[in-house]
Amino acid sequence: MTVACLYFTDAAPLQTLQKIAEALMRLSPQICLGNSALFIEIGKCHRLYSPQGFLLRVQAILKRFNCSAKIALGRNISDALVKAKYSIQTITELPLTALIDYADPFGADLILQKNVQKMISAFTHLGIKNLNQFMQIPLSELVNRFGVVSVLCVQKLRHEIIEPWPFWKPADVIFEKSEFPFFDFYGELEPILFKLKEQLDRIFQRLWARNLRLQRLHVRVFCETNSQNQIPFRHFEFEFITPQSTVKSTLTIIKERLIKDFEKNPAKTAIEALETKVLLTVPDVTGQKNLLHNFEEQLEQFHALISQLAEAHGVEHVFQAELTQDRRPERSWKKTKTVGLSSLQRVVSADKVPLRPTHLVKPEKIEVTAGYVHIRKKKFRILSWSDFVERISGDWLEKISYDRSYYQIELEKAPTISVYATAEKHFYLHGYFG
Amino acid sequence: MATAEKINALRLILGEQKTAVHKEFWQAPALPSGIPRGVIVELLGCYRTEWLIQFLVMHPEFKIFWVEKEQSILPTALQQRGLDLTKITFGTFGSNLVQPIRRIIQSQNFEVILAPNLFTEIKVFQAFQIFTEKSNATLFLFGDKVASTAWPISLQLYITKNDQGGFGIEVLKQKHGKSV
Repeated sequence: MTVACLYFTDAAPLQTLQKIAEALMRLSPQICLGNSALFIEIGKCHRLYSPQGFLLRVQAILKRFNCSAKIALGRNISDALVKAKYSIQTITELPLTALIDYADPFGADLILQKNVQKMISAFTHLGIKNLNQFMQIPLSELVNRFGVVSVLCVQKLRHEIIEPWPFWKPADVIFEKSEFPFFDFYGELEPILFKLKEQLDRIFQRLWARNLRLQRLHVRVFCETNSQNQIPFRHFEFEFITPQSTVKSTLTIIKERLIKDFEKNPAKTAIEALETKVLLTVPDVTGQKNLLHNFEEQLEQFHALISQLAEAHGVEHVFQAELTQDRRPERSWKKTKTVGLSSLQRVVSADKVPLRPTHLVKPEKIEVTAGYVHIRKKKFRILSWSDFVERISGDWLEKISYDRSYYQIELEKAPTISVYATAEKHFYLHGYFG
Repeated sequence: MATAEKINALRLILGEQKTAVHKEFWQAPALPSGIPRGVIVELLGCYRTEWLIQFLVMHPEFKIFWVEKEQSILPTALQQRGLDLTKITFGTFGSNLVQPIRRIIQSQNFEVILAPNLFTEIKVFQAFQIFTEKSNATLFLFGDKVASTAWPISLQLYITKNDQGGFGIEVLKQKHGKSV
């Protein structure tokens, strides 16, 4: 077994690592990803290229991606990793911190890393600085102090444990492209939507076969370029509130955005092609349809409606409400994502506070005189003034604190209002009943 | 007795069982004739929201969509009066409410849709009437001071508070009658 490790000193994002790994698949199909590292098994490819030839090819691929990495060959994953990371050929010269790389070469087990780090700290305190000194300690003494973690480290250093090779394959790309070569049209939506439906039909069939739902989609419209239109593409990215599983609801959402965009920026040149790409999918619910009720269909319809409304009016304008612990009426609730009917947890704090007005308004200064309330220069006769006063104050440590005394005032020929008085005895209208 | 009720009763007497309207009715507080299903109802008066909340509390199984121009209803108050917030979806869509309401009714997901009455065109009401009838949902419109003259509205109620502290309901218009 010969493993090549590409160690990226500048933390490369996972997407870049995946792209490089996909490009490296032409050299060997056995590839796996670690934390800032990429491993390729090339032992079985010795008839195809020599190690030197491999290194040159990898350098060429990295150059294409504008990336740099330390490359080393080893007899297993951890061996290749430490050689690449520390640029040292012999294990004995390695610092004690390399134990973490031996114990967890993929950087995935945080608890193991923490335990090994504890052991490293203890040995550093005792004056042990490199792996050569560590290897000289008898295993029986290590076990007493550090348990199984020490045994694992020693076994990995002695190459007594074969590191299992995690399976990796490039993510499936679901992609559709249609061209309009035979006729010119300038931004009419009908031909685009017609083709889009065809593409979505195929996309959703593929997703259905894989038991997936669509979460994020990218639509690209290719426009002919000339002196009037320099930009060849129009991009539309759709992040759906709820994962989509039907063409109809998805097409409605896309149509909404396209209509808006084409109204705002009409197409000045002929449209040449249309491309649709699935960016993100989520697992679908498996199992046979429930024959006793249609809750699933109802939920699906509900999600489709919410997605359409969110696309047309904005995500923040379609919501469900959840109560908070704050006593101020305006902060006593918060918007929550519309996740589905009957799925939110109920907060019972509302039962502990006095009855709130049904409608809340932005606090508006009002004048209170003997027997009358003046709201927006209109005079209302007071029928009754509540005896009960609810006092809400807080944020005493902040620069702006609040101190409100709430009253309910019953008015003649008007709804009962909820007003509050500040510490300075200014009255504000905050809501009304009914 | 409302005119519609009288006509319905006469039809039954005359033996025209088939032409007599048989609509499903929901029980409502202080309104013995109930609220018909699949129609447009306009509510007026100072205590319309309180009355409507009581009506919704009587039917905990309802799924509700509460449409507003701007956020004004206080969800805390709804829960305090016994409504389950998990059953309510809120939407604030600005002045142009026709399109969202049409979609909400057509989705057939909600038994009750609540919205302010910002409409004047009879075509809009007519469309809402067809959709509500088809989806068997009731659209409650919160009217302004004056009752709308649109004919597709089936029921118009003026709700105030009576001297005993209960609801005083004046039926301004009732197209679908029910024998009490």
